[in-house]
Amino acid sequence: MSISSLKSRITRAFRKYAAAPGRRLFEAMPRALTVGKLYEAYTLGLLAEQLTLNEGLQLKLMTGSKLRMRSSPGPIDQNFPRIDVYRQAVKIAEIWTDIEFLTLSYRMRGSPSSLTRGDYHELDIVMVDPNIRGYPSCEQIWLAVECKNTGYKKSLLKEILGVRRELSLLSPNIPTLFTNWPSSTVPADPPSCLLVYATDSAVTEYSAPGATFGILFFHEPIP
Amino acid sequence: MSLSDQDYIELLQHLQTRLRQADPVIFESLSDVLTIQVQPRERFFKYLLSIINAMKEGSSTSYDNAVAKLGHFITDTDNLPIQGISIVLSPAESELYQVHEIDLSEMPDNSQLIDDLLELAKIVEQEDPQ
Repeated sequence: MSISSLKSRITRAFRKYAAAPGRRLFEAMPRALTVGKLYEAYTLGLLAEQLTLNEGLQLKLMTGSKLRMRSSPGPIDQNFPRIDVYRQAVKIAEIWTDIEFLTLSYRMRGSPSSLTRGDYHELDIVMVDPNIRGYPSCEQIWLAVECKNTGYKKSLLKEILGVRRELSLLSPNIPTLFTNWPSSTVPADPPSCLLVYATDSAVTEYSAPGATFGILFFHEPIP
Repeated sequence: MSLSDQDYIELLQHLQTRLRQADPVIFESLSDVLTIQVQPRERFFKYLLSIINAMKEGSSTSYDNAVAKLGHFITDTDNLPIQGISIVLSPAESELYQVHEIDLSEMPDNSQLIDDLLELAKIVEQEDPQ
């Protein structure tokens, strides 16, 4: 096949794509808002799978039958989806998406009454103690998840190391609130589990510091 | 027919041009792939694969897979599987996009383009195996 035939093939393929119905609304939106949120939802499904199969937990969406995710992060807000987590029919925790937590440095400064923009950071998915209102503190977090459906670069590793720093101090291993998965101990105090899910296989090239600081990295594209 | 380095450079440029016209957002998101220091053949295939992956991530098939995964392990209060996913926009975003909530079940079906690009990859591989 000639180069011109190959080029024609490319042209035809993209012409059909551009003319396909249903693209207009999604074309106007940033990918972070559509594809990024879809990846968060998929990661929530992966998390639910692991918590169910490896930890013996049951998860229940308490706000309807549809996962209505918020587009931007903030404190815990009852208007957005809450997933209750049960162990042997006893509610033990809640899962929320796009939540900002109060940092360790904020607590170490004595939790002043006025928050600055550096005093809270976003987490894509969190599992926290039940019945928290507003911003959870780092002691109330069982599990925190970052979801990345972009190319995984060193800047993202630096970002997650910063999140780990603001969640916990480096420490000898401490038991978590999990028996098996994601981990029964972490080198962190408070002992929250911190997970990164990414669509880019390059994430595995950056995972070595996670063993020291208690961060687990997963390469999980949507099939 | 064996393809030369120049042929791959031309094909890549053509691919970029068509992608930029058809989907500028994905085009922008893949700019890093072009900076990788590899031979033209490998760069072409890496770029092609990146387009395919980006199209998969934003397609209705991915949505169906995400809902299936959620529904399998999370139920609602009636013990029924989760039925769908939507994004509730902030007031500023709602004003900008003139919509309050995005139902992701309306994501486009990109499977035709994905199939066409996979077929293209196969043809180029057959023409110029290495």
